[in-house]
Amino acid sequence: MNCEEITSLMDVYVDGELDPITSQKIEQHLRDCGKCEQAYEAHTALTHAISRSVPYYKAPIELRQRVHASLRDEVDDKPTRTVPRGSQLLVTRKQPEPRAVLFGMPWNWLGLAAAVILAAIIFSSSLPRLRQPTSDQFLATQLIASHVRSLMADHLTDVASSDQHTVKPWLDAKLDFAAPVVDLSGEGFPLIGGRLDYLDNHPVAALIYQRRKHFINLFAWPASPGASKAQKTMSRQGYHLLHWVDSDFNYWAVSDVSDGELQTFKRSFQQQIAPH
Amino acid sequence: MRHQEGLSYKEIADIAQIPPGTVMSRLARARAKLKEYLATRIGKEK
Repeated sequence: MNCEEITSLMDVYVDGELDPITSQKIEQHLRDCGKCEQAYEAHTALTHAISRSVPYYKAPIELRQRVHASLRDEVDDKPTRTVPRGSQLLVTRKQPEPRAVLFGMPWNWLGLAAAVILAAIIFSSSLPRLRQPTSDQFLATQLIASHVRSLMADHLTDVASSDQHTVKPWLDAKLDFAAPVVDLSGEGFPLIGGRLDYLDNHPVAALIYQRRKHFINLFAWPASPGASKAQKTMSRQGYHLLHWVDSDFNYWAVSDVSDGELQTFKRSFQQQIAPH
Repeated sequence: MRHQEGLSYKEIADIAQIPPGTVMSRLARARAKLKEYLATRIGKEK
């Protein structure tokens, strides 16, 4: 290959569009010929300069909207006629550009897609109501797991104290809410301590009370506005769960004490926090 | 399309609905013009 041939192929070579054999020949020539090597450097520099310094404009959104509006008009006005040549060209031109793929689709497909998305939104917004029992079941599983873990792993309390004035400040410092902490020794449920836990996607306060040889984990976290105030009881794997909501907090008590005793515990707790 | 989007001759040809050879010749012409323009500008600056 002579220098003249190389010069004529330089553009295509720089663009990486040549077949491998010719490319190799040019590479070989560039190694040997200083003049062509220089021309190659100049070409590459020009290419880089173009991509770096030539302003790059994205089509404004208004243009896109205008194109869509006119396309829509075309389709609405002449549903039976074939799309005029200009528009057809516009659509086919748009297709290869990945960002515009959505807009290159026929309108009936877009309509179908919109309907599917809308249906999905409606379904997912009504899902929490439909799923209420399931989410409670899931939460119950988490509560029991947390209760069991607290008993088995020697991690019942983070702060072991029967003094509510020790436990409460400790929890307050770790959480972004001030959980009510009361000692119920007088009612036969002495406070053992407090612990941090994570349930239902919240950090929660866990208060540990004792009933003879049994432990009660009372989980508390702020109630979401509009939460159902209905009391709930559940029994699973031999554990009893009691749920209630007061003005500020969600409570879940978990224990292996009887359901009746949990109800007594709840009443005592509510009586104790009421005056505060 | 070549320099900003990094598209190949074939891709440009498909989008513009022209043969790849035309893409190549138009690019060559554009570059020649650019070279000429830059040369005169640099010449003037000197």
